[in-house]
Amino acid sequence: MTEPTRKLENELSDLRPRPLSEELIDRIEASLLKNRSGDRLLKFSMTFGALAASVIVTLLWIEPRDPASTFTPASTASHTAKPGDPPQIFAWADRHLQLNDRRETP
Amino acid sequence: MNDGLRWRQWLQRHGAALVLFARQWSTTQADAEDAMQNGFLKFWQTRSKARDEMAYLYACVRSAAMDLGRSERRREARELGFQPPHPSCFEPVLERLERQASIEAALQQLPGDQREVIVLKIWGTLTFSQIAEALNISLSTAASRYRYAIARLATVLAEEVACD
Repeated sequence: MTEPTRKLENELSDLRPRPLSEELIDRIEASLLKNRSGDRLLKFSMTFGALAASVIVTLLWIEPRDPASTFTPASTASHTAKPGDPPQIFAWADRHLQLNDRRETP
Repeated sequence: MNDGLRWRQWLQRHGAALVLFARQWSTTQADAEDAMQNGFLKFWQTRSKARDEMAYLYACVRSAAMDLGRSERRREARELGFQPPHPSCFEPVLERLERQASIEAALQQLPGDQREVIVLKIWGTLTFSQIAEALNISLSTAASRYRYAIARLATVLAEEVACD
């Protein structure tokens, strides 16, 4: 850099851009606070959603393996399915009927 | 450090230069301040992904100012005939008011791509490497734009002194 160039650079540096107004700083602060509370709400709803989803998945995963909740059609041979019975009974009854049909057909 | 203090420190250090930078795409000081606010908020929320925070801050403000500038131009086209006043971008120094006005006028004569490099280097105190990153140009382009701009400013100001 030459001497006149350096002099011009110094002259430019001596010029001070207008400082920020207090009003502008307050506006920025308000926007930052608003965004922060929005972020918190988003994080809370995402965490809550993930938690709820994992509870549902866990329940669905555990239920079929739980021996107490598994339906054993012990005395269902004489049981005829009625509206309002659990779906497992309907399924069992369907299968039973299908077997009977097969036996009856020559 | 407390987040509430950090953003204030960033604003204290760079706020005035950021508004000056945004001013290039804005008609009024108020619009430049709006652009700076938008750019700064974007920077603050996404700064974790920045390679160089300072370069990223100026890039955010530049993008916000250009977006706002585009909508301003549309507004101006609707409000033809109204010309808002252009107050000085710098703090007035009484004993150098005339020289200050000459420098500002000379800056206005520079092509936009050279002017933004001057603002980033002189008042933003960015390195050429940071300028290159903020403007998405090569290091050599940033350096050469700066050289051309300084040479042009020197010529314009010298001509003015000769005319006086």
